[in-house]
Amino acid sequence: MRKINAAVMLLMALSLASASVAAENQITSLVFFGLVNSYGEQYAWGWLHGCSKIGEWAKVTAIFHPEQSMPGSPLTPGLNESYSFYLVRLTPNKTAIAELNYSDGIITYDFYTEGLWDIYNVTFTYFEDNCTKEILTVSENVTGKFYIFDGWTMFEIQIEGMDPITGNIVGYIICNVALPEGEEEGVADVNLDGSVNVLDLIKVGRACGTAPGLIGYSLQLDVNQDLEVNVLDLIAVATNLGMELEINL
Amino acid sequence: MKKWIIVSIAVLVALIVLSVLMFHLKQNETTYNSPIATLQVTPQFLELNQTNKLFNVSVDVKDVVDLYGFEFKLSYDTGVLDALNITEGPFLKSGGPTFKAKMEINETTGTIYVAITLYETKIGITGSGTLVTITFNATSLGESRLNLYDTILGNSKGDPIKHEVIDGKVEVIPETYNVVVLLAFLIVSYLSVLSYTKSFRLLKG
Repeated sequence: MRKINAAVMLLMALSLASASVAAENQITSLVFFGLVNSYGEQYAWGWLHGCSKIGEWAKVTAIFHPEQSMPGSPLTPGLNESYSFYLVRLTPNKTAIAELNYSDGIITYDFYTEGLWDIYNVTFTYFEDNCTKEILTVSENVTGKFYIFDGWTMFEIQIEGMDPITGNIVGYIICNVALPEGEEEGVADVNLDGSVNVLDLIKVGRACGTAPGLIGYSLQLDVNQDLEVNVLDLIAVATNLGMELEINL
Repeated sequence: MKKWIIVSIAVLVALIVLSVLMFHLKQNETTYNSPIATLQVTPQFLELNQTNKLFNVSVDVKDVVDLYGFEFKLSYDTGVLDALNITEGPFLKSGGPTFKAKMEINETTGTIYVAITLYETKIGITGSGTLVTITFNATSLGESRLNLYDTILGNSKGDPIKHEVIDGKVEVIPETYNVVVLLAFLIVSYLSVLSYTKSFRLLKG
């Protein structure tokens, strides 16, 4: 009888140990997309994309054009016309915190990250068949934070020296897959359905040839985050075809 | 008199119930008959009478609306067939430039993986046609199913298109097999004619 008890105890201990090892190895990743709709007191038009390995790093990019007359109204650039955008970026190596259900003592955020942000000014000039872009660095390594709140519906970016950037979360996914850590690598599951397949290729394919300001562009579809959707984004999806993101909501 | 009234009402109610049922059945039938896209291997059955013979099968789509991209896997028996080549068919590329994301042959597992999408165009293709053509070599005698799975047809919104799948089958039989069958048929026919003639003579005699 004692032997049986000992064996049961041993089995229980082993299963507990293996469970804790599995929990340690468990990756929790977050991917989200959103639309920027205000910059301080002004309306704005732009996009948000981000992903995070929870507890380790976050990658957040927002590109927006302030001074829109209506919330969410798209730009309609004429030929040879230029529009300037703010591009703000938090990269994995500059992340201090990246947590789900983070509380600052007053509010609990659905997701919270902070770190050192880079700020750029990107000017697009639109021509009949294409557009050119000019990127100027405004400042680097500026302290800032990003958070998602209100039940995964709203976000805000607060960067020192800038007005708050706010908007809506359009989609998000929490999964158990290691996400690409490179600064300009996005996530190939652009429709956030948990698997990378031809439906993601189609979304990107349709947006090919677009850039911020042109109808059809989205940071979500600009997989390599180079501010234009082209065949490189199709390749970025193609190289991940078949990948399954185990959804963990 | 009362009985007749009750019977008449009962018949009337029965007729109404029957007509309602018929209407529903007809409606279901209409839904069932509405065209649905089909992804199929063509030909569905192929018989080859020699080994080391190259042949083509195509993967076709029928009755599709707004096809913008597709993806499928096709398995085959590596003991019978070798897949040699995949070429894109004319159907999708008639709608604009296409991006061939996957055109893979895995000879170890006997799997073909194809994913192609249109790009830089706003609408997909409607109709029927060939998506890809696959060249095989029949390496040994036997049969191999050409089994389509993990199939996705997507429309220009990036939504999946509902579709049916029809697999194919290839049979590689010995070269002499057909000759033997023909000979057997001829002998049986000859014997039947012979016996018929004999019995006819007996009856006459």
